Amino acid sequence: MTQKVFEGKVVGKSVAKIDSLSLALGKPLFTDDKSFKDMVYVKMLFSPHAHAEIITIDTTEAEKVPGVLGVLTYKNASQVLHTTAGQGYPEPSVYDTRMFNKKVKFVGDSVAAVAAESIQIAEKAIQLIKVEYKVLEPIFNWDEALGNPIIIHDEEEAGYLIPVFYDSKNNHVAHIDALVGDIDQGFKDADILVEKIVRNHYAQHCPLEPHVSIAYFDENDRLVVRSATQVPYHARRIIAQVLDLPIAKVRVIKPRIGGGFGSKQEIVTDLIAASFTLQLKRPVKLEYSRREEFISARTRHPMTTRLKAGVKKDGSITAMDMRVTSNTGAYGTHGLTVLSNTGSKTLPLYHCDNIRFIGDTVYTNLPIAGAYRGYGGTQAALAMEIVMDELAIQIGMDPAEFRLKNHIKPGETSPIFKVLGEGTEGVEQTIDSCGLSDCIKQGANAIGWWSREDHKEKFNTETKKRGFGLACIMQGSSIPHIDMAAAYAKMNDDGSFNLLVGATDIGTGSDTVLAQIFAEVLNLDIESDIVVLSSDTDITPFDKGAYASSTTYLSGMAVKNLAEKIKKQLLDYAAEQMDLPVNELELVGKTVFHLKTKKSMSFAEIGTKALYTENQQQIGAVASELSKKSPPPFCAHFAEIEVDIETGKVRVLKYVAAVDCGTPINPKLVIGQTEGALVNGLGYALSEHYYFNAQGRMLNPSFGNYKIMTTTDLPEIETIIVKTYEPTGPFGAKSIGEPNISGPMPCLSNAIYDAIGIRITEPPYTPDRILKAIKDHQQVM
Amino acid sequence: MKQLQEFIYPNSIEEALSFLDESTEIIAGGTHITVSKNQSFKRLVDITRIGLNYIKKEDHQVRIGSTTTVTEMIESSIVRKIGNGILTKACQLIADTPLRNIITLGGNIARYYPWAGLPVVLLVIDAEIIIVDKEGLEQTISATKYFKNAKVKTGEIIKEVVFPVQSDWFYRYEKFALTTVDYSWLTMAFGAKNEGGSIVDPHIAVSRITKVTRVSEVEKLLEGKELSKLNINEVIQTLRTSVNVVSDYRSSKEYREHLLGILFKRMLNEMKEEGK
Amino acid sequence: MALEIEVIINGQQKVLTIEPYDLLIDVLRREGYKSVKRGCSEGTCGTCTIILNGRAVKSCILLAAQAHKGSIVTVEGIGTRDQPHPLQQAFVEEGAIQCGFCIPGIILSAKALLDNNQSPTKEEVKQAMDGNLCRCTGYSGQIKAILSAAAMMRGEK
Ligand SMILES: Cc1cc2nc3c(=O)[nH]c(=O)nc-3n(C[C@H](O)[C@H](O)[C@H](O)COP(=O)(O)OP(=O)(O)OC[C@H]3O[C@@H](n4cnc5c(N)ncnc54)[C@H](O)[C@@H]3O)c2cc1C
Ligand code: FES
Ligand code: FES
Repeated sequence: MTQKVFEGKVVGKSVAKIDSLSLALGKPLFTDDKSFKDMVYVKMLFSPHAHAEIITIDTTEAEKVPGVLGVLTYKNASQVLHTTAGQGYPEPSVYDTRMFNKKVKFVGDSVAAVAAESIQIAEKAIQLIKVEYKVLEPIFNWDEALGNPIIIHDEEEAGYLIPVFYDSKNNHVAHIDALVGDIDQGFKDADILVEKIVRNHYAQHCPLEPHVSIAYFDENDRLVVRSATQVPYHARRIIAQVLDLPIAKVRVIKPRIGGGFGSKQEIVTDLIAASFTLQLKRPVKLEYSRREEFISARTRHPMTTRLKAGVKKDGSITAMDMRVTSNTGAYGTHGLTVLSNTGSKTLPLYHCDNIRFIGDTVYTNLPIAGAYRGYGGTQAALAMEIVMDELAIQIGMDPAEFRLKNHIKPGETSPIFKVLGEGTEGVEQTIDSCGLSDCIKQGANAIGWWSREDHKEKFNTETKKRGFGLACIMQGSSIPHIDMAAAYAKMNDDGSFNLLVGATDIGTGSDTVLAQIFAEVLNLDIESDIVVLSSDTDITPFDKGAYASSTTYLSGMAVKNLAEKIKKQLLDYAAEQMDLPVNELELVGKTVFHLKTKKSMSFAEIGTKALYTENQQQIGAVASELSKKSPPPFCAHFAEIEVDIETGKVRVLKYVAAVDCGTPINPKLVIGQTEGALVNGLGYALSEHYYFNAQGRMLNPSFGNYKIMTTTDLPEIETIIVKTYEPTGPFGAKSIGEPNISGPMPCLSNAIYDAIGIRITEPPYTPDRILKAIKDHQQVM
Repeated sequence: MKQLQEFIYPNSIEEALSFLDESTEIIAGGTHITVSKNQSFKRLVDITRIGLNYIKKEDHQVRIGSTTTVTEMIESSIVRKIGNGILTKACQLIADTPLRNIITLGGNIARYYPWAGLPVVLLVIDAEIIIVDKEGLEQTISATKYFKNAKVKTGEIIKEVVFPVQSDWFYRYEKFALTTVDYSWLTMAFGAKNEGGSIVDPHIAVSRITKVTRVSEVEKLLEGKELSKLNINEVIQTLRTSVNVVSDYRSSKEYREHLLGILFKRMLNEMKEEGK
Repeated sequence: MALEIEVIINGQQKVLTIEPYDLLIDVLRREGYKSVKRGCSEGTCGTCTIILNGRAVKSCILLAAQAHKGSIVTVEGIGTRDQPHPLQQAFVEEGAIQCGFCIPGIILSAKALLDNNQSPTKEEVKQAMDGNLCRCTGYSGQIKAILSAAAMMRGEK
């Protein structure tokens, strides 16, 4: 089936990102690039213990240090229970967090904060805080957390605002049980059953700009927080909530952000900076160091995922049973929603009538997991794609053919869409756009899939074995019926527009994409006619923020609605001015044009007249959007690798990602999103890893020892864009930010299997682990 | 580093020496000085402006001044001749470009850094380290002797390193790490002469998995052995037992021992191949 | 004890009063060169990269005192909005900039390379960038941009 594609004037073009020249010139655009007079600096004291009760905490010596301005601990900071998850309200995350706690729950938990005239003074004072701990026994293994006699959270009042399961007495943060069809019958109908247990590991987002907030009072004594955040509106709400301020007294400004990937969907540094500002009435800065990012910011939920599936000899899948134990670490932020996403972002990908999903999220005394690009999909895709590979191999079908046969197609639905949403039930939807078949076919050609056996034979040596792997991934676009986006625009004298969006550009290029959508409707030039301002809670309209793959799809739709409204205003205004019937007018270039009479009125004329002389009014509008579905983007990943069977080293030689994001509004940005995510995914699969000691302390909290990929680690990478058209999205667009991070982990596992015949189910695929697997395998044989 | 009160720019070795005392530290590239915690020195003496930045070719040997940067060594065609290119290779595998632009030869060997790339090279090439002591007297110390302590004494300056150019030798260098820019998991170097198919004067040095050292047991075992008749398994076994391999959190003792054997086996096989 | 250092920053002669323990990154940011970014303070991310005496170096692991009598280039000094440096232009055109936090450092690493090597290979470009992490892009746009800027600078574009 050939699908419709959209070719626009501006949409579909790789226009330069509107902020990119300023960034290349090194302009002071980021949170910490603005200088403040009388700045106060904050340093945190973090718990050295994974689980301990604070018996006494003595800050007198610290307070005596000249230049120390204040110390916060659980004794004097706000004790409002909240969640640090920047989500819609009421949040689907448990309220189990206080700014500081009497009981610390992981190495890195906040114990105290010192504000001082300089960072050195604050650092010195931190060392003088005397804390006596009663060390408690910790839980580190998430598979042993449920029902463990050690109880991590003992707050009486902790709980969710929404009616969902929570049982802190058993360390049980979330539970989901969903069933469609008849799972037992499904397994009975199968010719072959495959069951795998996979375990993914801790990892960090590593935005190059750490969390940083600068809080200050403006001239009207309102609290302003300049913050590296993905969620300015949620940040404003949570600051107001925890510090007991009216929302109207708080302003959050998001400047340019140095990457987020989910980590800045969390309120990490805002509350402490703001608390000190309230106390000291001075600008206060809290910036995490890289080490603090690793130990105390957020991470990816490690999980144990068990997937059992049955297949008939003809390749049809009869049943899938997925069981997930998700480790949320010491606090439950995103604990429920990441869990539900594991199922909802993987199970609909393949035809199957009988599906069971049971998931549990548990507390442990390890770092806090939160939102991370892929958001559960990454974890479950590891299990899903390994099992699909194995099913295909067991029935003697090519893994690519197997996926081509089974993947969801346009016009189809999955029962999972309804039963699994984000935290709550989901929303039924049919797939209107899916280019996965083309992704698989084009990707296979690009990697040389069909001739891989010859290729392997040609290059294999005694010690080095080649292998090919494949993985298919889906995600969603926005959270339907929950998250709202809005945009506002006004016309200026010269026919240019200010476009004010709540959508939060954290480096993704969303300001540019939204400008392209706006320009497409109104025939504008991106560079000269549109000034975009994003995410300042005093100025721009509301938007849920940068998460859930919703900016292009949902905020984009809000901008399209907005542009349509303005287009109507322009036509009405010109009709009245030119005295012509509005239905005979159209936009041609930057004019309103009447074909019959060839009369026209330029935007500049309209802009000037409307503001100064005729039928005076502000041309402008506000518009919003609430999505009704969450159309998945799809991608197919292929890898060619080489395993050194003597050292265990895995080298990725070539990697192909074929992606379907509907209409690529800006193809170069699509490639950037794809490759940025997949290189992060490759690092996660191969080298990114939290090493803990026996006391739960991370041993490698630095880029020197936590290895993300650099240029010289890259394989040859090829990105293929498969265009489709999503009728519910702006000009046919869906999302692309997330799915590509989820491909490498299963894709490389499958490639390793292809190379050496061993299934590795516990990444990262470091040389020592691969070698151990090889040796274990040899012993069994 | 708040205790630091003074930063001195001497113009000569003598002047630099005159400032050295218990509360003074030498700074060359500064890449370690700036990141290391727990420092107590009050004064830093910058030795990068005292004429120690040079690469000099002499008959059969090369002198490299201690403040020569890693990048300068990589770019030098003279250095490429040392150890048939292993010094160049080792330099290329140190840290990353902007760091290589400041890390100095002297700074890489003056203190013991387990991950340091150059000590094993100095060991297998029989380099000599020229140290100037408090009185301004030059001492020449063989790398083998120097790395027994692997630390220059307070008050002394490493002036230069002298590398013999032995182009008829076989040399190999290996840094095994997780990614290209990473602290090494295992560093090793090997040098020997191939005389009519036999191994002569073998030098083996390893670091990271143990404190940097030559492995004399294996050197003895290999001395005079015919490559074609070499019992490689025996060699590897001896190597694994003679090196006191310690584990660290990245990889176990067992894995590192295994790796040590595999990497050395490959070097020996390459020597065999090359000799053919 | 404060000391004075003489430096040339982006062509301008300056005398700066510093403490011996001041890091170069802190002094540069204090002097208003905010393009010098702090991503780690440990010499591992490359966002603080500047050019010192013709070489790309990481300003977070250098003491400001070490730059005495040296010549420093930051990204503010290599181009303007009307006349961007070919590298700045190529990075914009190739879509090589996402969040932009790594970009000043990467552009300077690239500039140091191109100033010494007019026609680098792709491998040489990768090598020159190996100390500059970028978490957003996956690097390939940046590698293309540097090669394209090199062509521009050779007058081929
Ligand atoms: C992030 C990072 C990664 C690194 N990775 C690697 C790697 O992979 N491989 C590797 O080999 N190295 C690596 N290094 C470098 C290594 O750790 C040291 O920092 C470096 O070798 C020090 O050299 P320097 O010239 O900067 O010395 P400095 O920091 O100036 O000095 C180091 C020490 O040596 C003393 N010293 C210096 N020169 C002399 C001299 N001529 N005489 C007497 N004493 C002297 C100083 O007093 C000081 O105690 C890395 C460094 C960093 C920061
Ligand atoms: S801040 Fe200097 S390398 Fe990261
Ligand atoms: S563009 Fe964001 S880190 Fe490079």
